[in-house]
Amino acid sequence: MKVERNLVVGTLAIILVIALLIIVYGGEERRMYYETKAQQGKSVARGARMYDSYCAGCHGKRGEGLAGVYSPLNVSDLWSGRENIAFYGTLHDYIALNISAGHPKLNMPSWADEYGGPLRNDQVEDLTQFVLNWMGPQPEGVRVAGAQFIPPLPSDIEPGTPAARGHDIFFTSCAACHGRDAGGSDLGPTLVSPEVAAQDDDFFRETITNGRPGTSMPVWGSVLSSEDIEDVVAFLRTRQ
Amino acid sequence: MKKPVGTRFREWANVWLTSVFAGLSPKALRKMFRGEPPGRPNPRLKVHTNSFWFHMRPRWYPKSVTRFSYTFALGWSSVFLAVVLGITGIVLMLFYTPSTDVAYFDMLNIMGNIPFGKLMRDLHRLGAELMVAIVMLHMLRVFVTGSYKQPRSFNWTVGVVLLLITWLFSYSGYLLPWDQLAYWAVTIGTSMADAVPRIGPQIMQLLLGGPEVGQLGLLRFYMIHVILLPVALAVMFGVHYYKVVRQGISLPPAVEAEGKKDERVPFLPTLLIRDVLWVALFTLIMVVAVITFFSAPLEDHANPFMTPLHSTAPWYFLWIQGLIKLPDIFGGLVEGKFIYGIALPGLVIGLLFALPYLDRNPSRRWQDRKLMLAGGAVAVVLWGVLTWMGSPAYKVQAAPTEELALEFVPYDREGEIHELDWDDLANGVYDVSAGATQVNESDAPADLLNFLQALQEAVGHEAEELPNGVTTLTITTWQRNLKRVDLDIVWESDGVEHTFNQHTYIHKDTIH
Repeated sequence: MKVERNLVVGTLAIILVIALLIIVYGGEERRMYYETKAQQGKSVARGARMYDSYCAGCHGKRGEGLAGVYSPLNVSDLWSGRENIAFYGTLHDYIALNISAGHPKLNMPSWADEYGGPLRNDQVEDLTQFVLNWMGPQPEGVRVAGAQFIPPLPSDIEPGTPAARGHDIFFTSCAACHGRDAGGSDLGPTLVSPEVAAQDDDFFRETITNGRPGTSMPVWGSVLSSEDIEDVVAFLRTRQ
Repeated sequence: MKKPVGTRFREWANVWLTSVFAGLSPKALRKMFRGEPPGRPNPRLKVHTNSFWFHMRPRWYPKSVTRFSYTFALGWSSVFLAVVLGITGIVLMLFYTPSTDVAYFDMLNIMGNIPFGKLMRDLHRLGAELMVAIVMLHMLRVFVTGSYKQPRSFNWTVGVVLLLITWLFSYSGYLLPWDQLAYWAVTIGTSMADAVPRIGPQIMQLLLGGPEVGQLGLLRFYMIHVILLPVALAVMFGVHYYKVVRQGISLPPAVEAEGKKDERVPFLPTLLIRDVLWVALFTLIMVVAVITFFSAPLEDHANPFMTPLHSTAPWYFLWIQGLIKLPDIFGGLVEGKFIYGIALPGLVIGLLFALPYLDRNPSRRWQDRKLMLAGGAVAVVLWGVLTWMGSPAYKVQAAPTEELALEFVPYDREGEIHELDWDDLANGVYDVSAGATQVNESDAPADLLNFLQALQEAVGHEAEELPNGVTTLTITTWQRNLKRVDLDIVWESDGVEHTFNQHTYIHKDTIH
């Protein structure tokens, strides 16, 4: 129990503790940075698991969707046209909102518990982070193409004609909203009724190319070329 | 004529310093730290009357009691830990809200956004685990040295109350992170309160504020942890420590029996410096532990719809969990949960309380207490066995496929796969069936090969239960910086083919 020895050892220990704390402080910013990144990474991994249970059934195991029916999520330009439907928020908010509140007209259920769904808000956030992780460059084999649910050509259309090409484009881009018979649905009006058929070709070209503000008709001009749009118009005329 | 300024200042400084040091003049202080004997009258004794803090400590200890190998400073350590827990607890309180919506994210915030946040949390957790262990060891020491006998019997009883307070502290704090570990440990524990006859459901309602562990329960556990128990602790510890100082620490039984007058070791300066030394050393040990190997765990967000495999109570309650696994007696006439979860533990606590009054042997010497000491040894061994029984190793093993998947490719906790680096996760399909040679011939990274070999070995152990089994581990790139690891097992029994799959996703930023 020597007083001097204890004083020396005790003082050294205190100095060592202070030194260790200073060293820890020096490394804190770096540690917190990696910790935050790890938490975000875990969020993506949890989102991936939840995607398997809740989303893969419609949007496909690898996010490939079902053409014209359920949106593909593994594409590099997710909802770049969201301003066309007057949504000016971030992509993160758009995805989170769609997951939370659903999209009744598109058969997307609401998933957040505040809208009657099974997921907590942090689970919705995990799913959002997972979907967002499809943005940007991806390694090979990630962007799997979705099945094309295109029926065979009807008998009155010759293969290789513009109308035949328009048929394929119609089923990948238009049928989801305008119906597989172009007769309209909750999401989009009929394209084959007498009133619509009475419109001239320019009306169709204009509407398809520039969309229709105030409705959910997208600006297809940014996705389809003018030849594609001509083919679609040609196809529609065969149905009218 | 006025004295010169220098002299007046020195005189004022002397008076001021003497009052700061509770009656020790600077000269007497210097003498004390130089190891010189005090003059008469001894000014150091006055310190114990003038100062509140020094009044709580004795003026002197008998020398035989100051030997480290007698008490191991266990009682002292529990006070030290209580202070550490209080300080770190208050710091953590600044960043925590007891709401089921935000509690978990407060934990993430503390770990990822607050400088020293992780350190505070780890210190708090380490302190809590050490506290429970040291308090139980302290009880064991007091038992072994027979210090619970008269005139200290009442203090032993107060000590058992303190033990219960410590357990409740640790248990109520356990729930606060609101992760899977916390939620399910408390759900299992509180469901046992239900088994108390007549008033069980009411007790559960009181604890949880509702039918299940939720927002109300979290708030109540928080209030218990930060107000109710600290007040109870302050009161009971006050009584406990007052009795210790009044009655003195019991002498070692052999010394007491001899009856010789023991040499006195004064508190000032010898034992004060030793106190300061131990504060410094214990703090250093805790800080080093927390920096190097000790980390408080945090699992996924609490999920009432998913019970993790192998949920357990905290380690100091594993003995109760082990008891519950014992087979039902009385042919199920009385609910097993009541016998093993309430009645027996209640009996044990009751015996602990009553120990000094049941023990009629006035002698503290080991030769006179052989039966009691043997009983104590048996009790400790029994506690150890029950604790092991409470762990997942006993009786709650799931199907071999699930156990394999849990060890190697878990999705809700860290497993063997998480020990690998990102670069070790080479894409491919690896056959790890018993007897397959692909792993040995593969040119995959070394650490991955070690993992696959360990997996193959573990699969081989289960070969009996999985006849004609084919086991594959598949690693694929799922997204940028995200890989998926699948464990697939196909086996045949009774002519029926069975398949099992468990997969997990690993993000690059979560492993090193």
